[in-house]
Amino acid sequence: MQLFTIRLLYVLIAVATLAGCGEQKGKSPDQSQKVAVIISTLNNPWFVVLAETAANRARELGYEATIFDSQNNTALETDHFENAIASGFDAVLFNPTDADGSIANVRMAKKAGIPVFCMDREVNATDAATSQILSDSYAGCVAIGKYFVEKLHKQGKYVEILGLVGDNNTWSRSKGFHSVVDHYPDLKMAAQQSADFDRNKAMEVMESILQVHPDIKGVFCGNDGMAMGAYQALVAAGKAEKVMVFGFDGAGDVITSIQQKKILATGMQFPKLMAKTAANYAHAYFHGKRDFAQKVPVTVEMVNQENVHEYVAYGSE
Amino acid sequence: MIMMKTGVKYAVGVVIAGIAVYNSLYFRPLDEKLAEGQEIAFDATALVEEMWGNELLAVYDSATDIRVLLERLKSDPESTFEQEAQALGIGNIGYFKVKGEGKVLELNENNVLLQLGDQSIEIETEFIFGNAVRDASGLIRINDYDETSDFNSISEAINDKIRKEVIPAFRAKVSTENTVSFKGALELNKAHLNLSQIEVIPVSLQILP
Repeated sequence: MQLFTIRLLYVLIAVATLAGCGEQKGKSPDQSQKVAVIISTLNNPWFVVLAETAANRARELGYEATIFDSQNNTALETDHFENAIASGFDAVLFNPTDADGSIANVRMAKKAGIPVFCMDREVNATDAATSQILSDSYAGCVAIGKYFVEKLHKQGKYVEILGLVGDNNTWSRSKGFHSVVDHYPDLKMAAQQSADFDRNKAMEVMESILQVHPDIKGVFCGNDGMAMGAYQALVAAGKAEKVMVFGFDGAGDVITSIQQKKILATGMQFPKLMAKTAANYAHAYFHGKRDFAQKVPVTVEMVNQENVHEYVAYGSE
Repeated sequence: MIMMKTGVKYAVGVVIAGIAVYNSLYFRPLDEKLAEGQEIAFDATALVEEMWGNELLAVYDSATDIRVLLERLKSDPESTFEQEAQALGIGNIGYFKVKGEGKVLELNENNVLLQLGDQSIEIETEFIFGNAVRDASGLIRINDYDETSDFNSISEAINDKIRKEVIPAFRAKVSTENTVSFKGALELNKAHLNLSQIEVIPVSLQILP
């Protein structure tokens, strides 16, 4: 009798396990599916908006959503992907840390049958992510470059503060800016340094540069956090009135600073639009859609002294 | 004497060390260094040369008359954007192929101002930048290129050609009171539509007799 009970128990466990497997495979859309939102860093309000909007949109669509912070570290990002796969997440809304270094993580998810939708930043592969929803950073910085040339009257020394050197957005922004500014030989780049998209690092970089080049007229920064850091350094050096600062992102404090004429201009990205689009794509994927465009550019709009009254921080949705 | 020899040895050593350090330390722009060693497989200039006449200029032959377009944008911007604008992806910015004829009002540092009926428009002659000509054409798609930077370099090659071949010949001859025929691209933002300052990036300019 005891033997029969044990055998019955085994059979029940086996049946329950198989039933569980069946349920996992045949999960109907909208029911208990989980979305991982893996973000390069949450140490920047812009990325917090991106992450929270993606997670909230996924929840609105009926899914569980969890945010993971990679802290600009591809090794930590790999841990998050491994955890997401092992924990049964069904899609990843992804903001990569490194255009090359993050490819392996996307491929890992793809191999596990999990679609990955990149947001804002791209990976240097067109066969890994299901779709990449990207800011058109190049075009945005062309517009800023043109405004920069006009405001500096085509001459003077300037500084460029770059973002993470492993991120394609860093170079798209830089190339867009230089595609305009380099046509003006009287605009001289006194220094070009990376501050990793970090406000504090940008302040330190700017402080050092000012000691060597006290006569600069403009600073172009690859994101708004760095623009705020550079501006702080200029204030501390008593040069805030003489040096024009340009950023990129459309973050809240920079929009306010443009209104107060502290910062000249920024490129308005639309993190809420990108995040919602990525979550909507995951939803469509769960419902059977597979023909996604590999790259979906999202336009960037310049916010400057003349049009700042028409914009709100982080743009529309 | 020994002290003297030692001194000379130290001096020679310092000079050699100085030369070695001087020749082993370079400061160069970060973007220049990173660009080095990257395989240059895509030649945007060659692509633009190949497609300029038969493809790119040809699609601008079918451009919309700018006065007609502006009237439509004033009366029904939503559907005009939907029907006429080219856009790469998601967002408010659209690009239009336009053509027209107008009398030269002003020759400015950065543009030539034309009068077309009751509308004045700027033909850009200085700031020939961005993706307007590439994207308004509708011929070149981002998903045909693995590298986004290759895709962007097509715009740079198109703009270079306009700056070198279209603008100088025109600026050298144009004067006020000339009538000018143009084809080109127009960028507009549908959420922040401003029809009071129209800037056209030209692909062809002709001074009419």
